Amino acid sequence: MLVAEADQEPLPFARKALAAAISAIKSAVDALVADVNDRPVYTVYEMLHPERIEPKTLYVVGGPAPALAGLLADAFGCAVIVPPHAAVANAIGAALARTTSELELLADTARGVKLIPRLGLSEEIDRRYSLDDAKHDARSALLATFGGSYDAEVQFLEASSFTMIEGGRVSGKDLRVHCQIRPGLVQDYVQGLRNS
Amino acid sequence: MKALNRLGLILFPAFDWAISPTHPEREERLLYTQDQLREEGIFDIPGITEYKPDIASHRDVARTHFCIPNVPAVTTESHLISAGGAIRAARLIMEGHADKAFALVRPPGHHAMKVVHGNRGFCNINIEAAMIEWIREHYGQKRIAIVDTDCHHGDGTQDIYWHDPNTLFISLHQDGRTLYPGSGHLDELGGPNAYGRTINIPLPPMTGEEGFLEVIDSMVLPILSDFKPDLIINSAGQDNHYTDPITNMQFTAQGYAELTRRLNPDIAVLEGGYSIQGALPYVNCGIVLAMAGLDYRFVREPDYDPLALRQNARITDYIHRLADAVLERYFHPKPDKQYAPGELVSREKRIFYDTDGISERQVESVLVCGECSGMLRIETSSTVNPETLCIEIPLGACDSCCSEGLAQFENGQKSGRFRNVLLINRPARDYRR
Repeated sequence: MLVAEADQEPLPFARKALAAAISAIKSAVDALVADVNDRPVYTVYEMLHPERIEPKTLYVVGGPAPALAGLLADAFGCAVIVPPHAAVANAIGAALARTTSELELLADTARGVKLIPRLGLSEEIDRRYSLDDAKHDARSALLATFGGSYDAEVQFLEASSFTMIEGGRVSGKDLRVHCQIRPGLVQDYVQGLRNS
Repeated sequence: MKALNRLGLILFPAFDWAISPTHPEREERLLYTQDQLREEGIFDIPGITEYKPDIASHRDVARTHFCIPNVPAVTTESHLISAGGAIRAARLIMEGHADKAFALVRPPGHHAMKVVHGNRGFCNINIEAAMIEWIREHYGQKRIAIVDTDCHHGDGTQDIYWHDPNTLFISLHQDGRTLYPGSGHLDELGGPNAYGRTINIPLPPMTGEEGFLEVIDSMVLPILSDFKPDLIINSAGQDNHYTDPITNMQFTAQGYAELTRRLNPDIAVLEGGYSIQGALPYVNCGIVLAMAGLDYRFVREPDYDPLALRQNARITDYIHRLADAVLERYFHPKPDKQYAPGELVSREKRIFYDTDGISERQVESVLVCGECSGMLRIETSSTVNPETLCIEIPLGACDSCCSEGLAQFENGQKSGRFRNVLLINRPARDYRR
C-alpha cells in the first residue's frame, strides 16, 4: 500500500526504507554515546580524567537481526555479532536478569539525623557519624529490602561528605550516599555456568 | 511548561576544590544551589539544557592576561575549568545551540586584572575576559557590554578593559569607601582611548530591591540603549543578598530575578556570593527562570519579608541623584586632560593581592591613538616576581601601534632590564614570552 502511494517499484522502495532504518539506528546510537561521554561532571578530578566509552563491537538482537547485521556492519564500520537465539535474546535476558534496586541515604550530623527517603526512615545519629558509617547503613538497608539473605554486590553511585559551616565554625557534615545492587545475571545461573 | 528562550546551563560546583580548608570559596559553595535546581525540576524543563564546561587552554589565558612569569605559575586546573565554563557558555550562543547561557561556575574572576602575579580577591583568571577574548578570537571584533552586579567593584574587569572602547564596562557595587576593594568611584571612567566606556555606580550600604531596580531602569538600560552592544554579559555576583556574610546590602532572590529579566543579558557568569544556604540557591533559581523567560514569582527565601527589607527613603533619594551624575559622565564625558595621538600616557599603580599576600608595583602606559585602542606597555614587579615587561598590540591595532609594539618588545628583550618580557599580539594571534 505504501509502495502504491509512493508510486515506486517495490524492491527499490524497500531498499530505501531499509537504508532509512539503518541511518536512524546509527544516529540514535551516536547520540546516546555522545550523551554519555558529554554528561556533566561536578569535580575537577572527573573533568581531568573523563571516562569515555567507545563501542567496538555491535551485538544485534531481535527477529530481524540476521537480516540487518551486514548493513549495520557497513554503517558502523565495526564488528557485528548476531548471538545464538537472537530472536528471543531480550526475553532470555529479562528472565536471567538479577533483581536490582537502589537507595539513597542522607545524613546531617549537625542536626543529628539520618534519612532514607525511599523507606520513609528517619533516625537519630551522633556527631561522629562518618561517611563509612553511612555507607555501611545504606548497604544494609538496601539488602534488607530484599528480605532474607540476598547475596548481591552493592555498588556506590555516590558517597560524598560536605562540611557545613555556620557562623565561621564547622557545625557538622552533610553526607550523601547513593547505592544500588550491581546489575547482572541471576546468581544461580552464573553458578550453573561455572559448574558446567 | 516550556522555556521561552533556549537556555544553556553550565553548572560546575568543583566539589573537590577549595582555595583553602577554611576559605569561603569552598567545596560546598554550590552544593545547595545544585540541590535547589534539582528539587525545582529546573533540568527537566524543555528548553533548559545542562552542559559540561570546556577546559580553557593556556593559550586562552595568555591571550587575556599577562601571567607572571607564565600561565601555569598562577593558575590551577580549577581556574581553567571555571574559565572553560564561561567559554562553553559563549560557545553555545555563538554556535546557535542556545539563545542564552548561564555559567554557574567557581572560582570567580572579576578581581583578576590584566597582569596576574597571583590570587586576588579569590580570583586568578578573569573568567569573563577570557570568554570575551575567546569570542573575539574566533568570531572577530564585537561590541560587548559587561554589567557587573556583584556587590564588590569589578576592579579586575575594569583594569582589563580600561583602554578598550569596544567594551563597555558598567559596575554597580557597594560604595568602595565601605567595602573591598575600595575602588569603583564615579570618576573612574576609562583611559584616554576609551574615556566614558567605564561606568561605575557606587551604592550606599543597605540598598534594597527598589534601589537596584532603579539603577537598572534609570542608568544601566539607557546607557546600553545608546551603546548598542552585540552582546550583554552579566557578571552575576550574588553577594548583594541580605544574608551575605561579608557585605551590607538588602537585595533578594525576587529582586535578582527581576533585575535579570530587565537587563536581559545574553550570557550570565557567576561571580561572588557566599551565603551558600540562605541566598545562592534561591537567587540562582530566580536568575535561571528569568533567563529562560519563565515565571519566577514563587522563588522566595524561607524568611523573605519584603516589608522588613524595604530600603530607607534616604537611599532612594540618593540613588535618584546618583542617576544624574552617572548619566552625565556617560553622555558627556569630560576628561581632565586632552591628549594628542602619539602621546604615551602613563598610570602608576600599587596593587595588593589580598588572598596571596603579594604587593605589586606597576607602570602602565598606553599610546594615545585616534584609529585603534592603542599599544599598551606595562612594567611590573612584585614581592614574588622581578621586573617584567608586558607589551600588548590590541585587536584592530593600526599599523603604527603594531610596529611600535613589536619594537618595544624587541628592545625590552635586548635591554637586559627585565627578567621576563611578554607579548600579546592580537592581530597576529601570537602570545609569547
